[in-house]
Amino acid sequence: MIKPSDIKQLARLVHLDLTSSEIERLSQDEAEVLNYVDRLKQMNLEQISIKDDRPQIKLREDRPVRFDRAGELIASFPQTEGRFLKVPFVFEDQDG
Amino acid sequence: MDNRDLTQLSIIEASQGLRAGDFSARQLTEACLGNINQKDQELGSFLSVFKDEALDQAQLIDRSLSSRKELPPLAGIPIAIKDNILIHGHRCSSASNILKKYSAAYDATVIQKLRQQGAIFIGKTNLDEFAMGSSTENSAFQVTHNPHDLERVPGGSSGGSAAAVAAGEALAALGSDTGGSIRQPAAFCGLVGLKPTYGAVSRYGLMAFASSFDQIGPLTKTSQDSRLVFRSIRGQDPMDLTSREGYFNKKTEISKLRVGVPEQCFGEGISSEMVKWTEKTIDYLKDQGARIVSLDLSGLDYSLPVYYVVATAEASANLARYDGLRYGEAETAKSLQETYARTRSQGFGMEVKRRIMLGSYTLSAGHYDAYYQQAQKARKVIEAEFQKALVEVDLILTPTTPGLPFKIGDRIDNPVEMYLSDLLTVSANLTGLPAVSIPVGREGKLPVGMQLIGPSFSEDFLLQIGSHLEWLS
Repeated sequence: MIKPSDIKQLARLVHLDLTSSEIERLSQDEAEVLNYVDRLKQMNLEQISIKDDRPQIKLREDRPVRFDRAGELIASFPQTEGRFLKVPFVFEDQDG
Repeated sequence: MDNRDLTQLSIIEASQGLRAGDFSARQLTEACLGNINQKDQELGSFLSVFKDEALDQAQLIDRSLSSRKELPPLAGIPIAIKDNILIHGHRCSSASNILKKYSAAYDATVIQKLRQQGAIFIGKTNLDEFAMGSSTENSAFQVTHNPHDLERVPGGSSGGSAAAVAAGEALAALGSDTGGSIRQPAAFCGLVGLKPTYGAVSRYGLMAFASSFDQIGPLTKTSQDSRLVFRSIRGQDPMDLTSREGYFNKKTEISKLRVGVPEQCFGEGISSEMVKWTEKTIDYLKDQGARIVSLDLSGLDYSLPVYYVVATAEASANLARYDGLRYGEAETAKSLQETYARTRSQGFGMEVKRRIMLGSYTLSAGHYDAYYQQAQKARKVIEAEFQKALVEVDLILTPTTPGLPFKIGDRIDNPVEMYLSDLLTVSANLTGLPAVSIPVGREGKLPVGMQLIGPSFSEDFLLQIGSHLEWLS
């Protein structure tokens, strides 16, 4: 079982507010999955390099392209002020 | 008008009927809409249905047909689209509360391609939230039922697409496959499901789950239909830099085939029914003169653990974009951190939370080497093992699923048991190889699917062989 305190810490890092029953359930579920996944440790992989040796992807030229439906993207903003996307303060001490 | 049940036709039959004037595109579309109207309350295949738009589109096709214009083969064919693929102007929810009102601002490349073909989009189908699941029970909105037995799951995550085609609500559907999400529902619903070679089909406009595995592909009644849809959607796309063209030439006579069967197909976790059908398929191939080669693919034993480490790690990064700031549902709070956490906690379902947490855990300091790095190394070993096997044999045969369709509710509370549904399908995603599920027969009323895995870009070859194996008995 993963400690509930570890689940809480992880949840904070991935921006999830979990209820106490979710924490309890997840610590049990994740432990079961990890227990299954642990069989990977039986593989002897010391000699294997993780370097990606597939051919490199050729990136396209980085140049702006006009997108005619920008209005539709703006219309899906949850909150706006004028023509701007409105978001909460990034630094919490500026609040209020 | 034709007396046949139009919704039971294959694409090829329907296409011929349309051209011969046996029926119109409007009649074909109305027949599918009629089935949706009659059956979908019980089945739950669709999240949205585009009745008026589909009928308008059908009318346009009928006009072109009457003026004897040459039309592409998919013109006038009603197709259902999994609700994680964008269609401009339509809601695309990925069956998640976090996107329940999100409307797409552009078409996915596959949608553009099908539009050019004159295909008719009949609606968007249900899935496990963000394609995470094997039963379509993880949808935030509804459970989809298997048309062959309403008490059972249709498979997942493309369960809505599979149920729609099996129930005659559409003639074909698009799904997405990250670990078996096209092939497993195809097997459970008696359809042909193709997971193309990684990169064969553009992922532009597909909501990302695990980007190094995801592929879009067709669910159809026949192998020939699958080939037709696949040919319409494949190809390199400047909007997806992992997309590419590929070529493959291979003999297709069964009598000259070397078919590899991994020993694991008869081992732990595979039901007696699946063993029986694997043997039946092998016997048929042998009778046709094919040579069966027993393969020791030890990597298969590790495919599922590798998959669940790498796919959840990629998912945890991909799903970070759903933060309530730019689109989708937002639970705006005083601070940014609180806005993120509230939006995501209320927007995501339990399975999505479980995978984000697992992916972040295996990527975190202290666990990265033991899990993520180990899994990436194992993935390379498995890839090499499959490449080597496919020099020795022309294709690999396995059952698509370890067992028959299970009952709704049976596995939903046991994640590991649910994940085991993907035991035989994930290898094709880990290796990027193409794989197809072919309906070979029935066990009682439940369909059974066998999987063929081949070298990169061998889709046409696999479907050619598959067409011989459809409904063997």
